[in-house]
Amino acid sequence: MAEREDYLWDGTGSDPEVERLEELFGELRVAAVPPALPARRPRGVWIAAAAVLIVGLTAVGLEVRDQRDRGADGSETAARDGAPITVTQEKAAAPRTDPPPAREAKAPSRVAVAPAEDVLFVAGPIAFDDDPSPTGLSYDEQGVIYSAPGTRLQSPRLSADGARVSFEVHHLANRRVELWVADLVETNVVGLTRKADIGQGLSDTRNEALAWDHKRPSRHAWVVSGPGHPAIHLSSGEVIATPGGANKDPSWDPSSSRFVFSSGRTGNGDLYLWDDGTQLQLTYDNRKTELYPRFTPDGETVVYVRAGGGSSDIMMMDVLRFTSLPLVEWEDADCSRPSPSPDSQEAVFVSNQGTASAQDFDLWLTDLRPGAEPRRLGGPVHVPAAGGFTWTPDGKHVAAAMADPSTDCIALIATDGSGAECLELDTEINREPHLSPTQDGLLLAWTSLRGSARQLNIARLEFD
Amino acid sequence: MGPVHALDYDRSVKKQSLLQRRRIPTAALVKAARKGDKGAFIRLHEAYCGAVRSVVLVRSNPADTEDLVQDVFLAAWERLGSLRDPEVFGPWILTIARNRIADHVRTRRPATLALVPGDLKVAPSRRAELQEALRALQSLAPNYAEPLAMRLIEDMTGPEIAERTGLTPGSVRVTLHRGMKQLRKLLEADDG
Repeated sequence: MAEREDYLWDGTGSDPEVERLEELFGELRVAAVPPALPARRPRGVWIAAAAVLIVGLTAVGLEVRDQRDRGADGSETAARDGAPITVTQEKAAAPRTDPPPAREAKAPSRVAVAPAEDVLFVAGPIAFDDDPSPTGLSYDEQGVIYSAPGTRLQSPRLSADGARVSFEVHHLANRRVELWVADLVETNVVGLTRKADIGQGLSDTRNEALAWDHKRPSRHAWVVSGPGHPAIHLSSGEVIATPGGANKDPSWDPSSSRFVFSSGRTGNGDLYLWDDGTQLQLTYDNRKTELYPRFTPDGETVVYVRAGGGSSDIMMMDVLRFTSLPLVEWEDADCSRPSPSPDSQEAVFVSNQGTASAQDFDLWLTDLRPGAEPRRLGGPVHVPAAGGFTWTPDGKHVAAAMADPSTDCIALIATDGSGAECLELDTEINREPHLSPTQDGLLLAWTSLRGSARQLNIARLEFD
Repeated sequence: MGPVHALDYDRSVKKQSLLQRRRIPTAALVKAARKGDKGAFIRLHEAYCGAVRSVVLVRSNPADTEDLVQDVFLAAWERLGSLRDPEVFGPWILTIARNRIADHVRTRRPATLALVPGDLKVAPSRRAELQEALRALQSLAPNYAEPLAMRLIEDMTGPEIAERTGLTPGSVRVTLHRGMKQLRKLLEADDG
């Protein structure tokens, strides 16, 4: 950030309002009166006192331990004699006879957006550790990150603990993509990778942003498109690259440290499971391509897209038995980006079924059981550049950017079909909402227009 | 809040003084104070009194501030031997201050914090305005209110706040601007 006069910071320049407040608050300023200090005790006195205390506590501790060793039933163990310590089996708890407490019924949620200021700000250099060349990122004096003209910031993804957010910066002129991680606690931004001349063009939405490991937020996977085929990189250093085809769309199992991904290594897209270094092929479909897999939160099911033959379907796979079944098969309509609900019972997806244009996509909901009747929730919505949609933790809403010009907003779309509620945000042309529940509330990350580029925003949502 | 008041002090002198302040040899003073050098501790008091008072002021009634600040420095004097790294005296004494305030507030009714003490020679016409501004400052989150109090009440610069609190300069700068933005909104709302 260029140095400039900043009266609030160091008194340079001028700021009448700050100066007025200085003068007003100056009434509270008083001369410092030092306290009357007693003489400090020499350190040796403290050491002696501490030694006495330690001796006393040790004696008490030995007495307590002696009593404990005897046990409640009076049996004495030989722990202090060096013999094996007797371990008493805890009594099994009596079976519960009362029913578990009923879940409290919740009124329909209304969502208010808290100011974003507390959540994310940058207060230090933005740089790659190993590459000093300029980045496409800046931050203003409010600590808001934004991309420079000629670049596009997109695909924000919050980690499961809400402590970090990843995002991409696309340099439009030289077709370069950078992947970044901002730390919401330490307020710094670290570049993970930059790749020049990505092979498949900027319109290729399969250039996946970072996918966080839910169990271990420090671990993640991301996809890099290089001169060859896209490869999945793990934070541990492992790279999943195959000369025959792209490896992409990693989606971690929220209940375990494994992830599912798609790969074109056989000449046709199929799904694979990475589990602690081993890779297991999940689908064997030579006619169609399997894409966009997402684990359900319980880790038992993977929902995904099967594309080919003029349409694309929503599928589900039982990961325990490796059996696949179609969920939504519509002729001459595309369905994509299946995104499971928090209770693993439903999934939303986008489809151009019945829309005015094949380019318009509505948001739909289906139960995760074959034969279920999908319900349209609303739309049209913007299809995210990468990944799918995120739910509120209560399963009652899904965040989406509405594509209808009259309601161009980020909305929470009710999953009971009662409609969408636009969030009142201070930003414009808002896109790519991503929700993450944290201890401090539900965080929302999104991008918005800033001049000719885009900025990253994070806010906290509060439920009434 | 009332109309903007004319400034009755020499801004150019003030700005110059803000820029000319020097770093204080905290570690050396702490080491000397540990050996019982009261003069060294009084210099520490001079340097850190403003930061401690700010931490106290944003959490308590101004009438209690001076007593609490004295308590904090007395506690620091007594416990100085437990401070392992003399460089972190600032964050250490500010933590003592926050803990002391938490104990104090637990025993008091927290309803009316922003009462300007009667012994301050504030013109009656400005007393209400000052009270309102202080109440707004106290309603900010402490991480914003503390550095703003250091800046606006204690006349510390951003770099000085960073040095005293142990925060990074970048963090203090952003926090000051964000806090100021929120304070401005609150004061405007009061005006409305």
